[in-house]
Amino acid sequence: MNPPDDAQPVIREKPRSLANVWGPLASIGTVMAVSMAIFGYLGYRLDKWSDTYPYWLIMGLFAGLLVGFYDTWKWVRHLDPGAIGRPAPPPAPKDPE
Amino acid sequence: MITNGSADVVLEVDDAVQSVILHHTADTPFDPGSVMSHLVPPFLTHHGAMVVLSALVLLALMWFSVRRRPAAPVPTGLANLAEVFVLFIRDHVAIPNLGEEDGRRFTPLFCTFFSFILIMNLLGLVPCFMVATSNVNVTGGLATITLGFMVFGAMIRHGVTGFFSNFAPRGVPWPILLILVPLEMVGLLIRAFALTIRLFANELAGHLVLFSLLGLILVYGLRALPVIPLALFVYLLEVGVALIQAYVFTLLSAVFIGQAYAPEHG
Repeated sequence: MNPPDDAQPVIREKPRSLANVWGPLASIGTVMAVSMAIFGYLGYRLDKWSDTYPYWLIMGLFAGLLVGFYDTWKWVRHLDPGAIGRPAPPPAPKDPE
Repeated sequence: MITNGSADVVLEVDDAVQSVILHHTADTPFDPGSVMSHLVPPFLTHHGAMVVLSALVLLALMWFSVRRRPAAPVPTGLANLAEVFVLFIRDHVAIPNLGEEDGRRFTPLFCTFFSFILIMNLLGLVPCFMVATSNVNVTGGLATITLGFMVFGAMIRHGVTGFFSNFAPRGVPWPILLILVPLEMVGLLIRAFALTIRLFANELAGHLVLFSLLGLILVYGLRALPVIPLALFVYLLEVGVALIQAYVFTLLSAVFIGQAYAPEHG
């Protein structure tokens, strides 16, 4: 049986996979470690230069931790575990202008 | 080798194992032999040679995949396999993160990332070859391409002013912005650096574990034979890691570039 002429076309979106929803979370641990390593190293070099060991090192580690936590928060605030297997949301309608 | 029980001999074997592991993982100048050595540039190292070899293998594979066969209009064999990879990257990596238009435009870049990293990782598992992605310069070069798109691509898309204004989320009070803007700027660089370190560390660690396990045979002789199945297991694990790391690098590149192109989603 043919569908009526005024029937809306069915757009079959591909369901979002586990990797696409949770995959970016693979970044969290590395970003945390890398940011602490970089800021810790900068603090260590600053300590060597100004002879204030270990104050800048500790400051650097905390700054790295702050960057890592901020990045984690940015990922987690958009996390929706129920999105796995659900179709991706339709794209926003284009402005006629 | 350690039958006489001497501590000095054990130490010598330990040093030998250590040098073998370093020889197989550290980058050294590439010298193919007396005849061929005049043909290779002096700055070429083993990892550099593996990058070139991987590129040549990838070019050969792609040439065999895309060459036209009038008798078979439907792709078969290698072309069919390449199509599976390309469609997977386009439909599950590029388009979900960059949208339909940009996703299709960026698909060649992500396909290149995925296949190039995969070939480098897999060639590194072939005996007598080295894994180029265990060199931080190689992974850093790849991540620099991603960073270039995150910075200059976004500048071209949003303009220089628009690019920098994206560091300041809307509706945030200015005292908080004093903290947030530097965090956003640093976060951009840290993400690219994390891409570098993730691939480099995973590949290097896998090969170090593999060589360390096999090195136990040199130190303990026949008593260490049970490590062979374990080393085989780690080797198979490395095949999986090669695939997963190529995919993770490609996926995260797509996510980062997508966030730079559409910061309201990031």
